[in-house]
Amino acid sequence: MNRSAAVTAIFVAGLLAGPAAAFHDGGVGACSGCHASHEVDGIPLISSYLLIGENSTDTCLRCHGMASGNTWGLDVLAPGPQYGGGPFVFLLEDNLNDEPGSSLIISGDHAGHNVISPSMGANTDVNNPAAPGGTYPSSYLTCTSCHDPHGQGNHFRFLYGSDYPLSRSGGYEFNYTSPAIQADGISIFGPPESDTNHTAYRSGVSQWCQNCHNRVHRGSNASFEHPQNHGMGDEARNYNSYLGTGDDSGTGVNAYKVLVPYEDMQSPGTGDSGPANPSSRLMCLSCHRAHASSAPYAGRWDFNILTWADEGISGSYPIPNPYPLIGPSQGSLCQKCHGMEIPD
Amino acid sequence: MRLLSASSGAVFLVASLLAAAAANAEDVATPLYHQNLKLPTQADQLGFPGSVVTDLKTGEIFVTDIRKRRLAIFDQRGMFLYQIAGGEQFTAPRDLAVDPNGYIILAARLGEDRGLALLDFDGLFIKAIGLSGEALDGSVPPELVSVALSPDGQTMFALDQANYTLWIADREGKVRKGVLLVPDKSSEKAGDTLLGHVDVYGDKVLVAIPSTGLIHIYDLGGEPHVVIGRKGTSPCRTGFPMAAALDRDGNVIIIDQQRTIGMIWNMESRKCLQEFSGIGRSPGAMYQPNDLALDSRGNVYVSQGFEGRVQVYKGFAPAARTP
Repeated sequence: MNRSAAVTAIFVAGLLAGPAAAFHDGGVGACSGCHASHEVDGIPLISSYLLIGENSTDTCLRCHGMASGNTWGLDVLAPGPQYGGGPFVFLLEDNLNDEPGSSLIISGDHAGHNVISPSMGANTDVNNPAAPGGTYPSSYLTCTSCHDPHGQGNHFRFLYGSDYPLSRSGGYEFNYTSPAIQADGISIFGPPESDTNHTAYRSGVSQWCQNCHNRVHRGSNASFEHPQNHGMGDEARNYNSYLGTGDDSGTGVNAYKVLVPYEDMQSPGTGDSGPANPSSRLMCLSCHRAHASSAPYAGRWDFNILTWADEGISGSYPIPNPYPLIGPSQGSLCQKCHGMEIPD
Repeated sequence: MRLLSASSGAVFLVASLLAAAAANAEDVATPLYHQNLKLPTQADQLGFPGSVVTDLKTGEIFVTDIRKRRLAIFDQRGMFLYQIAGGEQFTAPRDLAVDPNGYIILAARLGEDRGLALLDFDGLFIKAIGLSGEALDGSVPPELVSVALSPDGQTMFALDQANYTLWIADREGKVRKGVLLVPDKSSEKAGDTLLGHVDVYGDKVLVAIPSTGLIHIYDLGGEPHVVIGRKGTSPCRTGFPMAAALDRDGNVIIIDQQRTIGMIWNMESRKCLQEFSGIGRSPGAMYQPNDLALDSRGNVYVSQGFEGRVQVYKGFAPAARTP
């Protein structure tokens, strides 16, 4: 073997020995999985970023819509497996309002983040021209408003953060001033979330949400005030003892409910034991889904119900009762932290 | 729909011209857009057509409407006949197959699980069909995304995303054979290989694997016959082929979700002959198509979620039949 051949062989061997890159890192599928590299008569095939969908949402949903995370979901009444964020399909609901005795129609527009998806028939939020409590324009809201498709920061769920880079959904540049969430997520290719298989949130959720929603649940104009980034303190004790409406005999074992997650730097992410110390923190995702749910305000449960018997009375997808042994008399999950005496 | 609207007409036209120029063999068909399948009332149109299937015996066209959890059935002229509503017995219908007696095997969510169900020709739920047999040993629970039947209706072909396998089974679900669709299942990273549709035309089974850009063609016993396609995004390349159909002349019609275009390849020469349609919003143009089917009169049906369309194109050779 001459010298140049040997060098070539070493180089090739080095390439072959390297770790296989994942899809979003330029591995399998690589660029052409999301981008079309050709134009027709000078016109980009679809979008200005040469995406293969009309926008980034449509591009993402080709793989992640009804599989690989089921982020859109199959059907408003049978959404399929959930992995934390909740399926966007609820944006297409006719009525989400499970408040007993109410005839008010709350349409699916209120189910969560109104990402724009031509292929799914989801349009710009008609109720909020900008992010509630912030300035992010609804007309630019797509998957890549929050998620960096290239995962350059190597953050949880590819979320943008204050370090790097800018969000550029549809060309709208948005600078995240708070860092990305620290968390360990479950695999989007494996079993769905459950009380024993769930994302372990470490820190930074509320601060991250405030990148866009800086002024919610606080101030004199807030319709509902609530702490958003708060050590649980005594609420941790309530959380552990609460085993459903009328049952506060728990000791922390089997206390964890995926419908009421919390932040904890020591949270294992598996198992269903409750918060081990009062420093566990309440955060936005303790009550809300990041994507959407079949309840108004992307609630992990419908905040308007009195008991679980009300879930789904609007005809919307009934969120499964987290305490089936208690049955339909199970109350709102505000009780999980506050016990039976919920403050005004 | 800024760019779709702005570019659709021009791009559709240009794509057609490019397609003709790109063809490296003689044209085999003159595909012509014919119509869009519609339900009788404007207020209740198809929501998200997932798959489209033709019954070569009756000429009927079956469409799974995932969003509205129903099957819509049309006659061979494209007139709506009736619908089979899900909700109670099934939701999220992904694909279906129709046997010579009109019975339907449906791939859908049955309760909390994704599986197969047998319906009669009126849509009456008869039973769930679970796969069984020694061939399944060592497999994870199947996630069935597509189903097809042999022309005699006795053999079932089910595409399993969880095990990257084409299961060949009898009507009761007893598996005779599993055809692995990836080189090595143990080294497969979840999400890297995505499966499209399985369809049977004549004595051939066509399996589209979008993530590799390939169409695997088998005989009815699961023995490999040929693989066609070439991954890419330039003309006559297969970017993300979702489904394929075989005509009586031995040509394979492919629908490509990524390139948003139809193609005709020759099965034996494995060469691309022609492209048709292209991206856009205008009638006949496509946007992220999901599936296609070919009928016995040479009509091609293409389903897509955007605007809930099932578009019909004429001018193809009729579907292959069993020799």
